[in-house]
Amino acid sequence: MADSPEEASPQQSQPSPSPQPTAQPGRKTYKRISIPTQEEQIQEDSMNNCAVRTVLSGGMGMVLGVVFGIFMGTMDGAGVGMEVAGAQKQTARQVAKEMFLTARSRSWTYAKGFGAMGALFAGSECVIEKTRAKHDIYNSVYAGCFTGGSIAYSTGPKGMCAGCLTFAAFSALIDKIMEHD
Amino acid sequence: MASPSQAELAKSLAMAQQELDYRVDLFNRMTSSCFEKCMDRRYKDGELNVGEHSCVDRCCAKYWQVTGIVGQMLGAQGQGM
Repeated sequence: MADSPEEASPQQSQPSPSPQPTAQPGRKTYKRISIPTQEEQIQEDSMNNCAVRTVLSGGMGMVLGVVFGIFMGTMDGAGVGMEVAGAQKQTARQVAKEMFLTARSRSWTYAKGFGAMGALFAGSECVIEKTRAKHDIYNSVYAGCFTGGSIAYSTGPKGMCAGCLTFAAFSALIDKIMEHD
Repeated sequence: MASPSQAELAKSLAMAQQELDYRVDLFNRMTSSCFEKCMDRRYKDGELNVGEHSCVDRCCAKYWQVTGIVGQMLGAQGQGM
């Protein structure tokens, strides 16, 4: 256990009969383990806080939603523009404006959806992991079930069940893939 | 108040040493039990994850609580005898 930090910093270990060079090709060097400072501890604690995680994931989901919405909205806008261009001549300026408008509304819709989904999933997963005090695939399964059910709230109990199952299966799959590498 | 004699000093020093030995032993036992219980042995990540964090937290709290209870019971038994 104590070998790896010593290997990483040869100047601190005892002089061996055959001194090895600091950087050996094909050999991984490890960072020396040290006691975390106050700031590092505060940073880690805040990263492990469920509220912070929820907000961060919500923000990331919103960013992703905006990007996705711009992509999809531009595609849609382009299609509409071309169709209309066949019937009545539309200037490039008008097409661009239409594209911009669809992209904006689309990205707002996607951002809301993705942000809510990310925040719900991350928040519930964090709370579930904290209460279970275990780190395994069931965290994401339960969190996915909760998220899917919450998103499908307006569709009634049957829809909520379906959403729960689908999302749970999806997140379990993602977790499996992430675990493997 | 007279200054403590050589014998008294030696006695209190021995007591302090014993106390510290006991503390270190308690700490080592607690650390190893909670490590055994809580840590994921795949070592994918340098830091503890949320589950391990809360597991260690609870494990240490419980260990400490039980140590206190056992100490109290032993003390009560010693007084009763």
